[in-house]
Amino acid sequence: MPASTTPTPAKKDKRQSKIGEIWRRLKVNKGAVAGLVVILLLTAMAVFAPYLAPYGPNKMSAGPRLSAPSMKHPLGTDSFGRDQLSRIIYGARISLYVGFIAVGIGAVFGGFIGAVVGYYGGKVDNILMRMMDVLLAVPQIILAIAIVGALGANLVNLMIAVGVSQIPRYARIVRASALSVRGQEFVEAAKAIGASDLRIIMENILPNCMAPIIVQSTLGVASAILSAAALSFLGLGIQPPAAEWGSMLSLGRQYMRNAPHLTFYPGLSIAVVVLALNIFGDGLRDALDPKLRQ
Amino acid sequence: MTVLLSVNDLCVKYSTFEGVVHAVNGVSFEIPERGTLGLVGESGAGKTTTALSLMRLIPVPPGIVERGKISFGGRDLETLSEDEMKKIRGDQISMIFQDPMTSLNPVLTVGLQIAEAIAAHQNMSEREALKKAQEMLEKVQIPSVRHKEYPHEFSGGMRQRVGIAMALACNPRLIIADEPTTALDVTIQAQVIELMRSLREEFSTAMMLITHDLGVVGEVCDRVAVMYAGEIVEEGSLEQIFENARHPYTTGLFKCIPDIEEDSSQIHPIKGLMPDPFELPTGCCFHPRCPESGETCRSWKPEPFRENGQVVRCHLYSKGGVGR
Amino acid sequence: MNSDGIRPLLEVRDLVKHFKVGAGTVHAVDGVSFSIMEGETLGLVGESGCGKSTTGRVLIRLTDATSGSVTYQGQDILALNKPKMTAMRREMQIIFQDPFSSIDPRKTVGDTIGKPLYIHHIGTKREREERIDHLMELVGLSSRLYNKYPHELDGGRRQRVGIARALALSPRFIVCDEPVSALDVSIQAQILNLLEELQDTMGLTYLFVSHDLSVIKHLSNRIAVMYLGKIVELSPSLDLFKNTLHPYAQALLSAVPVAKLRRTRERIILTGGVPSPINPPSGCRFHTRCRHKTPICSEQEPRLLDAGNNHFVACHLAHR
Repeated sequence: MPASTTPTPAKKDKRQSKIGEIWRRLKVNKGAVAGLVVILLLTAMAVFAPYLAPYGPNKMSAGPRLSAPSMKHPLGTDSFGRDQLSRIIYGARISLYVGFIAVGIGAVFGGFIGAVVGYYGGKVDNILMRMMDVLLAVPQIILAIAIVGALGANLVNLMIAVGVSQIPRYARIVRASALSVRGQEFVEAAKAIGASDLRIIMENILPNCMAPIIVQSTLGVASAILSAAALSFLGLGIQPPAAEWGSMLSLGRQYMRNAPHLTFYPGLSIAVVVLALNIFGDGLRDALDPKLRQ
Repeated sequence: MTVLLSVNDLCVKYSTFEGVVHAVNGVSFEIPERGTLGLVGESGAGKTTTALSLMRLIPVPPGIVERGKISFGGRDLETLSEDEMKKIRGDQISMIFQDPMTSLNPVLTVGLQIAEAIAAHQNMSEREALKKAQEMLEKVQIPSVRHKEYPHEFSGGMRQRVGIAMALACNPRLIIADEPTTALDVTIQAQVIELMRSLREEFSTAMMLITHDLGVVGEVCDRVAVMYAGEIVEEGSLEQIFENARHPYTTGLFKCIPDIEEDSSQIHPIKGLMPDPFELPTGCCFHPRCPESGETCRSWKPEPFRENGQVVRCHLYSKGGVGR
Repeated sequence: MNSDGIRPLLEVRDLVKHFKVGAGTVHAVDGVSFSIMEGETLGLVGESGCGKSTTGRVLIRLTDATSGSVTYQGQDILALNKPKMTAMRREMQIIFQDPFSSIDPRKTVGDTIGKPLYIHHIGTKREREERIDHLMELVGLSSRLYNKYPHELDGGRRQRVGIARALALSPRFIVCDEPVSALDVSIQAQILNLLEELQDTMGLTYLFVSHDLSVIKHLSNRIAVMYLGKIVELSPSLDLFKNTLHPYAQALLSAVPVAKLRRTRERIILTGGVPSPINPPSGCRFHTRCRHKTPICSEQEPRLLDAGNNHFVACHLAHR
């Protein structure tokens, strides 16, 4: 059955576009595409906030405070008389920024640590995972407070604090997958052809642990936004009056009875982001797995 | 000898997202009382599906038993209610599995598990059942004091003996053994085969042995059915199949095995691959891999050709050997 | 086949591999010595847990040996440092048992076969692609499969991918670790013939590890029989079958089911199972199951000695 040795043109095309192939598989999944569109729209909203928002985020209107949605203020105003819609649009900037970067820090470091300890096992595993356990044992928010307290309160440190506090979760999940991947013969095969440990971790172990990382990341964005809000509430992150969904949520809580729209819309925004990311993440996970290709 | 089990034109398919898998296509065979039939074939041939349909254990969905009549001891299994079927399973027909580790409950002692199987079908007190279970263990050459041990405390061969004890506990009329020795080492396999042979005599049970190993068939069976792509392509007595195989697939299988008793052995593989179960070839399923296939083979399914109890489905023999 | 005139490609001396487990130390390989001649196939046969796969893996340093030496062309492989060992991997490769777990499910066929070339920086991208095409042709894979993922292939084709990957670096020595035992009979025969062809055309040397005696016999020039971490018998292939000396080897050979009506061998059924490798029996490790055991067997360990015609056996009875 020997076939011709001249590479066919079709083969060449395919070989060059790994990302194209993932996109082709992703595009079949309608939900994932919808999720991606929502995320892109929200990102665009954040980027073009000054052009989209009817008012400035901090402009206090002379009109009534805590007013219900009206023609003038489609989502109502808050306790300072600031326009809720404008604040949500501007808030997307910081919230998405914090959510993505913090999750990025957690997933990259946590994933790498998990893959390393899962791959090597033994002492490395014991030492690093006990450290992770210590981190897990400290309530996330207190850990973040400690980090922000040490580094100083600003947006960058806030993201680092939230990201670091998420590391143990990723490490744990990835370690579990890495342990099972490590036992597979293809890892030994990679060793036999002379691949270095780092290469095996990066090219064999991590790609086969993608599914749990993606799922955890999409859920993690929400908790990162909320953690950031909690820290901001304590005065350790974003300082008021900066617009941010999490802090809008906690501010609105005081007026839940009289002005439920103050908690509803920021909450809805977070929910939409999480839902969109989640659906997109599911689709991405499937698209990355050649076995699930239809 | 009277017929214990007869299967007539059994067709089973699985309906999946990717398409329909025709797992078993018109399989017919008989097993007489005390007879031993070996069902041989490679993976995907439909051996296990055939066995499961005998027990009425095909998962529905995705499985669909399209047609086929299975009668056991004169009763038509199709007409039985699920409760009646439960009484037959484990009592009159029992199964031995490939990997006893997964078929035994890891948190129950083996004695209790065998006793449970006995108590489910026979009117016995728990104590009596446990006593019977210990007897069964002795029968499979496990010291009865070990009835208090858990499955993980036994080696692979010992676990398979427990599996056999469990299968025989209710003195069934038919045992279906699905690759019972495949997971075992050669010397342990020899022990288990020896044990199965002697117990079959003692309990005068009929047996259907499912395997891919022609060597094991030669040790245990008196009739052999060769399956390929959901069909029995050839069936005959052990002598007929081993010395006078007719179907090109059967002869091909024998040529694939290196002969351990010859000084230098040549092996001749069957070319090609097992057919895609979603798209079985037209005509004779084996024709794409068959060295003797012709035009007829591509377009027509061969009718069974019978001679002296040997049945072949091949155009080389159909219609008095007119051939392709 | 390989008379004394041919020099050994690989020499193994007193190889030991112990694993620490919760309950103690597993004596997986316990003092194994043999050599493999250039161009021959040495069969390593035994039942599960006898240490045959571990031996194969230690030889090419997939796991580190506890002690002993493996000399390949005058160099002790076990003593090489990392960069030197990486370079040495071009000489020695392995083909695995399970075609389903030995190939990364997320890599295409072409990527898997080309990986060794990439790691060792061989050729330009273009040259590597040509080499991959050539390798695929060599093992009988259609070049259409280049971009397929492993799950789209059946076991036999996957095993061909594994073979092509092992051949990519043009090694001289290949450990075949049960390469056909997960395959169907008809596919098994195809792969066996392929391995033989490749050996002829490329002058490969094989260590063929298997539990299947008929396969081992078909391929090997010499055969080593292992039991509980030790080689009990080592002899030219035909000689082992004609004149089996060790009682374990005799039982093993007689236990193989033969696809024939009348078997020519008398069957020897061993009692009991293999003892635990954590606490292997004293003296001869087979004495607990041996039909011919004498008092000395449980006290003194028999050495692997030549019983004539390069037929080595480790049994007190054979050397009396």
